[in-house]
Amino acid sequence: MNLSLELPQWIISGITIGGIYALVALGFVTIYSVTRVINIAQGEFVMLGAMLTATLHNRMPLALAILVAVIAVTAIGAGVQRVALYPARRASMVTLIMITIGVDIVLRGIALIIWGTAPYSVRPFTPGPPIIVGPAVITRQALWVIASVIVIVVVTYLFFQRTMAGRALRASAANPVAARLVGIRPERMALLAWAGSAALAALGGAVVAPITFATYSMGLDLGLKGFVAAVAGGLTNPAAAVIGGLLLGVLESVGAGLHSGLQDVIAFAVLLVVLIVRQVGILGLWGRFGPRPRPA
Amino acid sequence: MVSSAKSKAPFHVAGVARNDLLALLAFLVALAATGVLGAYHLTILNFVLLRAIVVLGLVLLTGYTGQISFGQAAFVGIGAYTSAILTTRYDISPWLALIAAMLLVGVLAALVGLPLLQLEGHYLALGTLAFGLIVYTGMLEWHSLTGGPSGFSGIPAFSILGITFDTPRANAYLLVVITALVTWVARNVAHGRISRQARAVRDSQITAECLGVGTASLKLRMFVLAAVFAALSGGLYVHLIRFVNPAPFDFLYSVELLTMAVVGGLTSIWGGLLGAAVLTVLTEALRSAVPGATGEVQLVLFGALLVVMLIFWPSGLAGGITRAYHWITTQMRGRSNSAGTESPALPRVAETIPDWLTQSMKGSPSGVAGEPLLRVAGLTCRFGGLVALRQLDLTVPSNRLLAVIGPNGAGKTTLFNVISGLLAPTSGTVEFAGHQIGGTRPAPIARLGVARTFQNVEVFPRMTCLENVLVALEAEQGPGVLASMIRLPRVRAVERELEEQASDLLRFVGLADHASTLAGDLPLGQQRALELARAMAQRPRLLLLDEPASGLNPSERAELARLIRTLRELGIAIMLVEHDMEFVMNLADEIAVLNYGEKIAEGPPATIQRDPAVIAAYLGDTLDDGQIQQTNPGLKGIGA
Repeated sequence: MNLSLELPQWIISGITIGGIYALVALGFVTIYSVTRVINIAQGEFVMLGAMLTATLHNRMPLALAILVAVIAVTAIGAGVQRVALYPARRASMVTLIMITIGVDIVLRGIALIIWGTAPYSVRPFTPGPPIIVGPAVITRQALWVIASVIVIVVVTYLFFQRTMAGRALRASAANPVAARLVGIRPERMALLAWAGSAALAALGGAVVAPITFATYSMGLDLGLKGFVAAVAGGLTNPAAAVIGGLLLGVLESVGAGLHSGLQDVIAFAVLLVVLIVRQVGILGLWGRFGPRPRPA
Repeated sequence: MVSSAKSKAPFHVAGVARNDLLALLAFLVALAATGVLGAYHLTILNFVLLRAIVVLGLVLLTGYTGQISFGQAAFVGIGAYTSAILTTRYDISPWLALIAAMLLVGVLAALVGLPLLQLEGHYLALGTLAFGLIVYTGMLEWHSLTGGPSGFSGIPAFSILGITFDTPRANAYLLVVITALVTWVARNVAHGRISRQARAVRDSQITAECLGVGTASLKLRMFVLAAVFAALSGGLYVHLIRFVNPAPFDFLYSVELLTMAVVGGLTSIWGGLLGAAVLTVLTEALRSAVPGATGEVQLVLFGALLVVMLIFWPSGLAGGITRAYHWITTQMRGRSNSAGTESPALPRVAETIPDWLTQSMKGSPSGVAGEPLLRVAGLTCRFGGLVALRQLDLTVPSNRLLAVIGPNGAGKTTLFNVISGLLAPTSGTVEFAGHQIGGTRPAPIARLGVARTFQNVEVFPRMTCLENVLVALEAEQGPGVLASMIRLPRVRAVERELEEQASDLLRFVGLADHASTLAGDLPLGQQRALELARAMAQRPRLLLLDEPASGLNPSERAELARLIRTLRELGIAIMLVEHDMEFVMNLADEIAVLNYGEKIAEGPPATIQRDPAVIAAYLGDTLDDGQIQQTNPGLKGIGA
């Protein structure tokens, strides 16, 4: 194997899938910042976006299919917040994680009932031969994914910085009590965060479906990878989460290129290392088990 | 009134005995069922029992210790593969292989837990999840060892004395006995010192640490215990099924196990058994009741049940049953003596100190003769640009009360946190009874004889008052995890003695009537009293009291002052941070005044009241008194 020939290709495909991780991570960060909930079901919104697009795009124009899919998933995201999370908003963190796992299982099960186990294909947005840049081959759909991710990230940034709702969300994340005092309603912000995150994920699912196919089981994996990216970025920093997603995608793609079995291990090994180094630090470990009082 | 705490103890023992009777009954029913059930139902029973073993470990780890694991299936899997590989490749007896698998998993869990358990809350949940996924990928990919996704067969069954356990019925007998043993072990752990320490860690790890509980090692030992339970289940499983592949040990199995624990009830051993039974049977019933209901319907119902349970019944089936039982018994009792009990008189602090406490205080060495007990030298504590303490020198002789006063932000609580080990000093030394304690962990400092209370009261809210005190009494010594598993009569005798001491202490602070009340249900003033009883249970040589009088009414303050004087007479050195100047001036032998992290004055109360630097720090140089009285109303009693 010739690394100099293969590496650019791996990096390109890594950035493509990493873009999707970035969108999931962005959703994670939004929900976590505002509601302090780790939403394991985040990946299922990607799956629903992909599945709905795959089903609808044979019956209506592609753009409309994507629009309908995103709106539907946004509504599902809001519904999940209302039905499953809101009634338990005072529960412990562990309970809340377990609830999102329950939601994840329910959404996946419903998808399995509706669509079965077969993968669904979505035709590329613009047909045509791939583009060749030096040693790397870029499919047109990969360009769509990368472009969409860039647009979504920019739009999300503008939303958070420039709109009233975005600022209210940030205020709510930074200091829920103060936000409440100035008239921002936390339950509305939680709903907005869930709906917005679901929309981001659904859009990611729609653009990636032509590359990966859409299956009922694609969600958990994407969700966990997106989570790894979000944690690597510190869980509350949207920009870092996006970069984390892209890096993870590249790392995985290169790892898989070197040894096909490595792909999944890499993400979770990264997660473990990041968690331990970020949260504990090597010195922290020493501190827990290290010095003891000694006679003077 | 005095004897009420004691009269509750036999009731508690009766409760345990009743549960044990129920357990024995359940065991006999399970044995009888094994004799009569058909092969299909026996297989279901076997799966219930295999899961129950893992779930019992999870209940101890998550419900009692508060540490969540989303990777338990990985330990089951490693146990299963280890036992399978040892028996097929190396011809080792299944029994030995099973033990080897448990040992290996125990060691592995210790290695994995060492870094992972430093994580808290959802980070731990996701760290264990990542660990589980890595192990699962390993089982799929390490073909030479695991046989890859299709696994391998030819695993021998258990056999003993010519009997081979190769039918569902024979296996069910084996599993009923082993599960009964595991349940007994789990129940022992859940009832003794280790259980109290675990729940203390769950309720507040920092407080437990300050009481002298080695929290890091406790969490690790519970993690290892739960992993060994999981390995036992895995090892039993492969010799039953005689075949092993990765699929049963995926992430979903970890979730399923945790769901069983939650649905059954995380805070009770019975919850673990109940959860495993109910969910397994429900899944099977669903499969046979709804024709064509395959995995997907099961998946949806499983998830929905989990969500509904968590929202509406977070204490699980066991919690619900316990509540219903209590409701019924109180209803019945209510009818039988409707006169009701008269409300007890306001509890007062007992006049006398328990003898055993006086004895143990006199017995404890009070440092090198002539040397101060605590010596703080050149202590500086910096947080980024903020200097909380600057070049602070302080000494506290035994038998004295040093009050530390100063405006908000002067560094008083920082000083306490450094002495008790919650903060490491930037520079300088803290020497206690001949030991350098600056920058070491809170638990060993507590064991040297430093006790403290907290500005924002820190009781263990979901434990009874008696248990709160017991945690401190037994922090240093008592049965460890292994000894707790068997719970010898000797252990029980020691425990009874300690329970007596704990009730003595509760009586001493006026909480005799609340021995079995949950600490979280007490009003603030009584929580402060409980904190004090707990601190005394540590038999401290130095007691740090952080604003003990705040939130107390005048009569409670008088009681508190009396209690503090009694403690000083016992020979305990006391450091007191307090804003109520009248309280401080009446109690203190010496006063140190801090301002912006520096000591600006030190001396007996009368001197401090006249010290111009102190008056300036409190009242300001340029402002008139009226303004200060408004912004700082806690200053009555100081000079000016």
